[in-house]
Amino acid sequence: MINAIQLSDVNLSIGNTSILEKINLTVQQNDFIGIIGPNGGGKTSLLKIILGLLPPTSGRVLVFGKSASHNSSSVGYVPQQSEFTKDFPISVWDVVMMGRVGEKKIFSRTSKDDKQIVDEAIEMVSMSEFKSKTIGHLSGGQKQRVLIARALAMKPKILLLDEPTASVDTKTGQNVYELLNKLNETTTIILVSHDMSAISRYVRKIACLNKTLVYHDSKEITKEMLEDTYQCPVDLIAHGLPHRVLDEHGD
Amino acid sequence: MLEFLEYDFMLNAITASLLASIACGIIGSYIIVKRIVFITGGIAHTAYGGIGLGYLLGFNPLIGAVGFSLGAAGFISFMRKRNNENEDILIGLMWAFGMALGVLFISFVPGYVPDLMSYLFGNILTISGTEIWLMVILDLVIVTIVAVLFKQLRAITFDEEFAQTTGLPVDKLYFLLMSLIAITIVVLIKLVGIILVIALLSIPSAISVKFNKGLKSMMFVSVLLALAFMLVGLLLSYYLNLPSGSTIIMVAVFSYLLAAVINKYRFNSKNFAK
Repeated sequence: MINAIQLSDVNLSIGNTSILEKINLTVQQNDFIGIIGPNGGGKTSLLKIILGLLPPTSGRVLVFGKSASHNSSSVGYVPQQSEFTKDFPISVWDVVMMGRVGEKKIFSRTSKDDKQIVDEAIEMVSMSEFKSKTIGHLSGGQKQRVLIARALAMKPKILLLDEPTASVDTKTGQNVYELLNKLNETTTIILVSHDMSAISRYVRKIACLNKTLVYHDSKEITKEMLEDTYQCPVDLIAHGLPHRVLDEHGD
Repeated sequence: MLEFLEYDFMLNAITASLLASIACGIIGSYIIVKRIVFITGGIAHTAYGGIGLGYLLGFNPLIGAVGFSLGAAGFISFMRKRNNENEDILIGLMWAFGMALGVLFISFVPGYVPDLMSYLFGNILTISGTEIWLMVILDLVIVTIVAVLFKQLRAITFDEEFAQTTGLPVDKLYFLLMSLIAITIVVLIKLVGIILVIALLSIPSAISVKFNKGLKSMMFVSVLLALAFMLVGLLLSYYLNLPSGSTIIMVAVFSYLLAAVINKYRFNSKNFAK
């Protein structure tokens, strides 16, 4: 089976600042990978490289064996914050429809299939009752769900999410993770977050990113891995438990 | 009371207002939702270089304005594509460069330069039949492109980055949008002039964005508002013997303030009802 994503020796620098160094990452189809790391560690940049939005300074990026920018419609992206203007006059349904617009030929009208895909995507994130609401009138968590539906409307084979639970309450966050868990049956998912406790309960594999990537193709996070990544002492969280278990503090 | 309708120049002015409001309401809506008022100002002022060139070489200055504003649209799109960090500085530079170039060109023209003020501040009463036809053509171009590419243009004004991930040719669409803005500016120059064009492009849409749920209805209301501002301004300037361009802008600015007050009251009463 062909790898969903393969990064070999990817470097990224902007000006004289190195953002990412020697990133090697192989993602198999239907993987569910969580990438954790400190703010400014290059998490968003890594996603943008996979999406083909940001060309790496050097190295190779393959998505289903082809260069990243040729695969745009097979990769769905859920950004952390969308830049859109708050009072943009557009309904939830029309926002989700944007997931289909790249497929369109110039003169073609919206097909029945497109409409059905959009309705299903909205249903999947439980936003059906809000579909004619203006996007600016929604809460942070509702907006986040709309952005997920917009990415789902692309029918992506890979879904990239940037801090999907950063602006939502715990309950909504849990719903988001359960939805992703279900989607993972057919979709490869990469999720970026600094929220280790939530991430570790759902993802199958974890990578740590702070300029360099530490990835063991498993769900194990060791204290050393984290301390390397965060460059400071870190409390480790136990997997599979609903509450955090902390190391004893030395003082 | 309607004796002004007997004058040809007034009929021309009313026709021009109608044509201008179409371009203004449609393109102004994109400018407001994408928050590119400053970029629009840059394109408008750069056009002055083309007006100067027209005077110097003896062709219609509006043709020169089309060339220069399209050039500015291309420059801005190119910078954006390269992710230039100094975009705002370079737009300011382009803005001043275009104006200065226009002034220099005009200083080389021997003798008196007629109508110069009308390009800067507008004079709707001097619009000629040829210019009306130019406006008709530019309006047709704008309406056709927006009708055909409505969804695509909406997608890039809403969220450029996501639009790119769906495979839309974002750079080309962005250049197209900039070019539409450039063309619209040319349509408006004779009415309100380069310096005031920014108000007529932004104020109608800045009002209608508060009261509309969709981009199409926003455009429609913006067109009506722009038309109302122009006609009211035109009548006031006729009866009170004031400069037309500035009077139109005054009407627009005070309408914006009024709308802001109404909008505030509207939201307060909604909250009150809860």
